[in-house]
Amino acid sequence: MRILNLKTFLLFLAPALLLYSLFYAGPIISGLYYGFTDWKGISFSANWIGLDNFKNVFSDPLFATALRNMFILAVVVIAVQHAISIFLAVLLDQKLRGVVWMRAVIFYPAILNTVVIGYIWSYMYSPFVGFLPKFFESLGLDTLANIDWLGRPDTAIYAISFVIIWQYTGYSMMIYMAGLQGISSDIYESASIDGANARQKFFKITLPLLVPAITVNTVLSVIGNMKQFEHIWVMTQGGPANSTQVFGTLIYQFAFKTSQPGYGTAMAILLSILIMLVTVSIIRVLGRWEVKQ
Amino acid sequence: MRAAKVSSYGIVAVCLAVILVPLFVLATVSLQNASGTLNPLALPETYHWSNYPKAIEVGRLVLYFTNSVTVLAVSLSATLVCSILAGYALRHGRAWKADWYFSYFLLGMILPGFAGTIQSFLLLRELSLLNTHLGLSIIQVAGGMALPIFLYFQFFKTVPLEIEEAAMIDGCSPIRIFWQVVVPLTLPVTSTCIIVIAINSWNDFFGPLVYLSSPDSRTLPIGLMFFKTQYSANWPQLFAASALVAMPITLLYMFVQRFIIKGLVGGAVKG
Repeated sequence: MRILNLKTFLLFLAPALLLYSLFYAGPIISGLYYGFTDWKGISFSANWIGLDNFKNVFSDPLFATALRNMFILAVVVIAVQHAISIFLAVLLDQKLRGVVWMRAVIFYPAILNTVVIGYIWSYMYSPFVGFLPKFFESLGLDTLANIDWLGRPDTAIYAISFVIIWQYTGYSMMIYMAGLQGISSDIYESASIDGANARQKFFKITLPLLVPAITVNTVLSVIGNMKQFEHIWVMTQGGPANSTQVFGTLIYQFAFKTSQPGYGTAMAILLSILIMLVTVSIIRVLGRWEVKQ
Repeated sequence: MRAAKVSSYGIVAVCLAVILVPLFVLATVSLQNASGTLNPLALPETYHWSNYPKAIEVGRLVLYFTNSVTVLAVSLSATLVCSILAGYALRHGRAWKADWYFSYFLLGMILPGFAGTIQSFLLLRELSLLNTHLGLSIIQVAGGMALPIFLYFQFFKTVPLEIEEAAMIDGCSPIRIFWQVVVPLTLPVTSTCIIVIAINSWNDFFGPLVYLSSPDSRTLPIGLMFFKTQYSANWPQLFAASALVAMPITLLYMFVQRFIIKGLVGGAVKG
């Protein structure tokens, strides 16, 4: 029996389909055309220039910087964030006193506004008046106290990475906890009877059975970090000396600051392709490691 | 076992400190004297509560709060309506290639939204919706409906067909079945969707940065960003403003944190 007929089907689908196509998918897909033009972004008209934008992108040093920073954000941040959050999830899955409260505090930064977080950390890092200089000074570590973390090209991206980890560790932790709750306690009991110690249980039971949660979590953070714009825009705007440029900040600048949206769009196309490739490979690779309970 | 528990507490304590110290710094600096030397390591010597009313006035926070609420209300209600209807259509539309539409909507969770920013910008300008809260809301709805559609679709698959078929045999029209039989069942998914959509809209930074350029139309995050460019050295006032911006969501979190965590995590895991 059909619940909907064609008319009601279209009626139900129409609002979402129209808004989504006009104001989200359409603009992005039209970028597939604008990426091959000298578009100035003043109107919808533009001249076809073939592959020129893409050729320029590949010889652009900023593209190399963006790739490098994307790699740092997508690999280093995720490795650190997920190692900590799996560990914390296992710890806070125990019956400790005040455990609900502790989880809530660790999760809290995830709901805060990026601008607020950006300000807090800009101050934490800021030379002379900030928290870190004063903190290191009070410990007698003068060399560390004199580092301008966000102001130096070699440290800035790592300083920002730390902030991202600070904000989202609690979020990944909660996803891992949801995964842990799906593991039946029978498995642990029989492992105990067989004489397994805590470490063996973690590596032989917990970790393999967490792979689905790891997949979800990694895909979420990889996509999020590859699209990164906000944290960097609020803290460094891509500086100092372009050392923290990522695709998001570059595309924004080409679009709204230097009037080269055609060029920026070419970059956005490359980024979209990269994101899709990476997402699919993560799901493939981790999918192979999944085991049935 | 004892030793293991003690070391667990130790490690968790370090993590809690790393999370809490920056928040403590925010609080203490926001109450210190703007013209004196700041001490982020201790509580203020005298509490300068006046930083707060000054921040509200200088930062025009009341106006920006109202703007944020307006955008949130429009974008939340429109996203819910669109996605619940679309989710239902996709559930019952197998005869009309619903799975194609479904994959098309799911692209919205992967593609970087900024890839189409200028095109949307020009489109809103053509429609005279630039610098309006309605315009920003429309962009948020279009960009944020993928996950809710997916969640509703998954949910509708779990509703037994027999319920709807029985209503149909009793002579109910499709619209009445949807409205009176199906919608009342969606409360758990709807609450997840509300949380995800509301937090995304409230914290949206890129959207208002691009589509709301006039100072009067700014939402809280952007208002806060311009606060710094205008009064850069005044950390206490800036932090008072930041604390105020963080306040509504923090208060909500204190009362219904389980609910919020479940909503955000549940939305992510099912997505």
